[in-house]
Amino acid sequence: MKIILKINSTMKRYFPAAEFHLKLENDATLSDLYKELGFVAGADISSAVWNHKKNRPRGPVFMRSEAKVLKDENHPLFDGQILELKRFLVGG
Amino acid sequence: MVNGYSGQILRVNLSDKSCTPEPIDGVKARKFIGGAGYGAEILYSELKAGIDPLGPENKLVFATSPLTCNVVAGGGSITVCFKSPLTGVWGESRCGSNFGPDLRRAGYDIVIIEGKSEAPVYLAIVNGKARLEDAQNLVGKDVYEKTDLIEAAEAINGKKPTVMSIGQAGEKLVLFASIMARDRAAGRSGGGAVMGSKNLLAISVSGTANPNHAHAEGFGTATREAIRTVKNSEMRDGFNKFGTIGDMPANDEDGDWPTQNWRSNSWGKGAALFDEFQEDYLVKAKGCYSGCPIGCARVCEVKGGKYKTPVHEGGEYESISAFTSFLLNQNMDTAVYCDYLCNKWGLDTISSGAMIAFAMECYENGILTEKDIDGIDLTWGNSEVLPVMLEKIAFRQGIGDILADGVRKAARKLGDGAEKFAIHVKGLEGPAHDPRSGKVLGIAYGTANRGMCHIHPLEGMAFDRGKMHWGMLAHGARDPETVDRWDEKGKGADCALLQRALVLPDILTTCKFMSYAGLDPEHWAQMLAESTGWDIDAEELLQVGERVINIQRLFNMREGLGRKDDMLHERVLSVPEFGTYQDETECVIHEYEAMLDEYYESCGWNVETGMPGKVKLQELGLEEYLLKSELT
Repeated sequence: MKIILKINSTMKRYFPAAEFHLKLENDATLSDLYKELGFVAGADISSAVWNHKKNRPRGPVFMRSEAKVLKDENHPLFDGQILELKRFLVGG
Repeated sequence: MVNGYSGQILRVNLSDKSCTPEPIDGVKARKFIGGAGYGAEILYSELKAGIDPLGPENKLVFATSPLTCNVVAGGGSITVCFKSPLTGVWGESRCGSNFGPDLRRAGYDIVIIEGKSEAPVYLAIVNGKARLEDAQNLVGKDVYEKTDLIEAAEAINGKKPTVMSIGQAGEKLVLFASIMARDRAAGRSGGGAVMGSKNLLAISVSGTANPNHAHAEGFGTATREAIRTVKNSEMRDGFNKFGTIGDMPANDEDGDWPTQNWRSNSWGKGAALFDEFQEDYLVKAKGCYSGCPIGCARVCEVKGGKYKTPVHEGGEYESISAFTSFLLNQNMDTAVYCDYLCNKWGLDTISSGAMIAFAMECYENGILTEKDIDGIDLTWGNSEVLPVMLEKIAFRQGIGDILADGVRKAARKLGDGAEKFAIHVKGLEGPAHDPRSGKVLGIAYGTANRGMCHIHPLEGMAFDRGKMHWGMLAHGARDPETVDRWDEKGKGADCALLQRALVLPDILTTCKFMSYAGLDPEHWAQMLAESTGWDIDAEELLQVGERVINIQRLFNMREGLGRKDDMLHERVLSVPEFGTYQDETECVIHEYEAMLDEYYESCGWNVETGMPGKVKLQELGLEEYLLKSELT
């Protein structure tokens, strides 16, 4: 399947591109997406928001789709899905 | 009786041991509401300019508002106001805990402490009755010990009171001593020293009364809607899961992490230190008061070794930054341990870390020698010396006696150019956010009435970097998405407008993070209207915010402050010496004076003096305060 990952405004400065078109297996989950993103762009994503060892977002960075935060890494994705990576927290 | 309020102020005169209830003034309530608003009115009206902040003439005001209730999002708070011994001007500090709601249940909205007790005492307030108790047995005890003893002594049918107390640092009059509700702190500006100067070691509150809201059903609906808004906010998830320390990696990357006494705004260690805290020190998340819908507080511990701690609340972004990046310390054990020691002894974590950073730089430059500091090796990054230095400060031992007076006074005493290393505004040491990451913060630091503060009233970087507007687009704010963080034009006006909104939690004694999680001025106005029965909307509430900023400003002007005191330290205006931004001239504020002009103009203040103009004061209904003042 193909999915589109958009990088939210405040996140753009941490990523090499504002949008990624990623190919995943048909039964892919959020976990697979992170793995693929790490493979495609990991080295160029800032460690401020990306844990390169774990290939996962670091800190308050969440994946959203259809106006909801996807909290479960086993969450199944679907072909043509548009996801958005967003950072929540600037304070304290 | 004013609906929404408990209706009573408790005036405690420690000199004659009297505890006298007074009614809340309905006119003042509408004009200043509560917290840092009503508190400012009291202190402006009752204190004379030039008094000694540590003398019996100073007063401590513990203030709530009609929204200080556990059912209100962020309502578990108390604001303490006083003339600061650290800065000599307006002092205020907020503390999250059940103390505020319990004070209201005990029958009081505000407690005014005045005079000085001959012997150590604590104040107990139970269901409208107040008494002063001998506290000789508490002298020299730490915050946890004092709290435990008073909780045991004042428990009613097994129900413990809520206690705010000072530690040894407050007793020793450390000028940045905090007032603690166990692990929660009214940390900044030195309220703990004011309390210590009065021989008041603690206040205990308990009660069963409920405030009388004008429209109980409407109030319930409004508060539930507010809680729902917060709980549905994605920002809430960020705060809950990662706490404020979750910002550390990105702040480092974005140049918002003062490092090595502000020589740089980034260090490159933020991500690793954050991961280490999450994996090895974090126990769980919790709220700082019963009913909090966010729960950003961190329960943490050092599990073993030389710096083992009990499980405690700590690990805030500011505190951990103060004991890591400020000092080039990469040892998380000592950072968490020092944070714990500050809670225990009652020290402000930010000022404490800043003072050690200042001392390290003085040592590096030969202003302090090993002889001056009892042979301690104050080399940058030497983690072993941090608890040692903290103890010296808290107990005013050796060099700690000088450092305990804060960075401005310490630099004057040390001389030899030490002022070059004393980073502060109005005497308040800088926190862990850097205006070289976004320019609104620079003006916010310069103009905040309590000094170099990142959050009272405005976190400028949350606008410039975080693209937050707190619902202020509807009230004339620029869309932050259209604003470049390093632009300067317009930032003075942005700051002036946003301060009026972000001062509201300080006035309403609510947690500011609820505004980050979706509560805008309309939410606050709605809850306040239902509680009090006032026909108050967001516009009027924002005008209250502006009024409060102005009366606090008048307080400071009366003490002799002006434009010259709204300046930033040269180092904060310089290109970082190292790190990600060392070659980035854009990050530096180039025309600070022009930004300040714009800020003053937006406020309706005299551009040359920084004095609020008569027209503005009349517009805000503050002309009588100008007449009362000693200004000419």
